[in-house]
Amino acid sequence: MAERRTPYEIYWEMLVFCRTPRSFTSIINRCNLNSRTGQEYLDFLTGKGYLTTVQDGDRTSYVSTGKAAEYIETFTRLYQSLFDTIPGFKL
Amino acid sequence: MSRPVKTVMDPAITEKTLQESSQNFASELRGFFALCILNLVFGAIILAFGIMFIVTSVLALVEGGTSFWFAITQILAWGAIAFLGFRWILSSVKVLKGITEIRGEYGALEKPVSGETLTGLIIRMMAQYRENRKAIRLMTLICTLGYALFLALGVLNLIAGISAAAGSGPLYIFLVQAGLTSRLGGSLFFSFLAAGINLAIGVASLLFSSWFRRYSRAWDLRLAEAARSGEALRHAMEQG
Repeated sequence: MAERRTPYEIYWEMLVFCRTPRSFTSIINRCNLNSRTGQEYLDFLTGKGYLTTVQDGDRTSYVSTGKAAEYIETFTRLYQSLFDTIPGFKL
Repeated sequence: MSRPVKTVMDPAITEKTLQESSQNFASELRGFFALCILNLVFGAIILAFGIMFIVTSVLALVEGGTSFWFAITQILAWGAIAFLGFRWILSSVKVLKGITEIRGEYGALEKPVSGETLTGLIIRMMAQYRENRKAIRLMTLICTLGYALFLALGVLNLIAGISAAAGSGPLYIFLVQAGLTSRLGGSLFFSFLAAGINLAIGVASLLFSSWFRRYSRAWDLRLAEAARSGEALRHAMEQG
């Protein structure tokens, strides 16, 4: 299903999931991505300041930043508004 | 360490909008699920009809009640109809599978549904539509074809019934040979019963086709809107 989502939908899933620190493996599993694509998305979001890395010993985790909250909120509002109206009939 | 993620929308407005969106989402899931089930049933009926008439045509051929090439044409025609029914079932199952998963997940959620959970399901629904767009268009086309076919059969049955009532004209003999009307002594009852069934299936096909078109239109609009949203998000990300 990964290819059927837009990059913005995948960013949203990653940012929501990373509200608490998450490992690379758990992110790609949750978002149903392969490691190469997953790494590209994470690099992009980290580069833009939507995610930050947290070191815990030799483990690296990703966590959403405050900047991500605006994105999550805008995205959520936009997508929920898609269901403001539904096809006009009932079965 | 990063700041905790906060929300800045007006909570009252957000909650109202969220619950409306959630109800609309649930309602659409229900409607689309029922439509897929009905399609599955009708696909099965058409497949059964096709097979039944193939058998009838083969029997007529064996008994020598009709010409060889006419029987072969009939078998091929009913074979095509049975194939149409089979494709109808396959398309319905493909779409139904995805919608059943989402419906099951939505049903298992505690209500009221949180905004993020709903958005996650909307994303999955969008992905389902992108994946099944062709199948849904095929179903719309098959429904339209089914409508035309069953309407034509219904009209032929009606003509056969009227013709049988009037006696034994050339049209009636042709319809009997074509296997499109009852062989039971030109029974009026069976002709009109067949006409009723065919016309009912035809009308149902037309309705399904119309409903699928409405769904397709709504979803195409949503995808276009999502693409526009994507542009806005990209712009915001570039600026940020």
